[in-house]
Amino acid sequence: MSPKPASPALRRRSSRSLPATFLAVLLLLLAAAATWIGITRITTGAWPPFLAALRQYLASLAWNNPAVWAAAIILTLIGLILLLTAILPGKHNTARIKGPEGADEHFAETAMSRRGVARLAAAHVDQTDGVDASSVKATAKKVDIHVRTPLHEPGNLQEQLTGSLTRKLQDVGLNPVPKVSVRVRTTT
Amino acid sequence: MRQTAGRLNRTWLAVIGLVTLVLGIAGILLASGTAGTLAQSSGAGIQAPQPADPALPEGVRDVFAPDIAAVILAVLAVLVGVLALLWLLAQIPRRNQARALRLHGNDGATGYTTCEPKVLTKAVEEETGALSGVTGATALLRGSAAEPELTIDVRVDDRADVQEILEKIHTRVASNLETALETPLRKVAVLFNVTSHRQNDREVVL
Repeated sequence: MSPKPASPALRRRSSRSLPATFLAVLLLLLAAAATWIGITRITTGAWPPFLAALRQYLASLAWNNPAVWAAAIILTLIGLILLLTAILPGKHNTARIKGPEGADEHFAETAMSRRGVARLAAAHVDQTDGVDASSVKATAKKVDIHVRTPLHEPGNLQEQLTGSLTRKLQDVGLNPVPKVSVRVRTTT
Repeated sequence: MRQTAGRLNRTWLAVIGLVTLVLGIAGILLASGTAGTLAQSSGAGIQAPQPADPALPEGVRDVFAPDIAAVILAVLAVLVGVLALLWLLAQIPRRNQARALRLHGNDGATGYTTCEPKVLTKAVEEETGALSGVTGATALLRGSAAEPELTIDVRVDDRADVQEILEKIHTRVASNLETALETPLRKVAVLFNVTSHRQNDREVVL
């Protein structure tokens, strides 16, 4: 079997960078605070004064105190959310494009960024006759477009746009071709 | 195109999530009194705290009284802080480009020929940038001289013919690189990005 390629795949699931950054910063701040508390105790010989008040408050709490209930429920929810964030795959970060004829899957990989698909769709829609303004949201599997038109009777503008855009995405070679959904609104 | 820390993030998110979940569930069990019922029915002989008991154990103050407790706390905190910082730094996407490629000469007596990937990638970028419809390109060469892998990030304008550009990249640009390296490429990955400005916006060749 050939060894694993050194390059990462272009088409990956979300790397969960945002929650990881948030957690890392939080841990860093907590660690800094704890280090400061520890060093204060070592240098001055006494724990910082606010800790005594905190300990007295905590000592007065029984297990069935509402504050403990709230803390326990919040911890459970946060733990569940983090676990789901780690396990669920998340969206693809790019859309696959079919490669040149006769090229092996492992040899040639082609993709387009989600923003690229959105821009392509937006440009195509904006150039269509009868379209005033458009807003596009694109993922690897779906393209949602909202169109504003000055025409009184949009007629079959919606079918026309859906058809032509699907053809354009097929020509670009997106595989699978994203499902195009167009919504038309008249401005007059 | 660059490498991200996907697996590292998911592993640690799962670990921290699991720990938090267990703490939360334990808190709910203790607060509702179910922990006591569970401990009794399991017959393990563990005495669980009752809901009316204080949440903080009696001996907490004594644990933190000696000096060594502060030292341990500080050391642990610094350790966690350093790990958190490393985790934060791992979020930066890495290029992971190959080092200098050794093209000829496994035997030192006849001399070596080395080539920096930058030289080759610049040529690839210029050749790709000259294709019709392409506004710019960034190339990365990974792997070794015997098994090179090329990744190109191509920026095209919104009216470009994507399949034609892809065809030209594979037949012209990639094969020119293979000629320069004298080895077939192991992988060619092309990532398309769409920009709103056009190629040759400022100059016209008459």
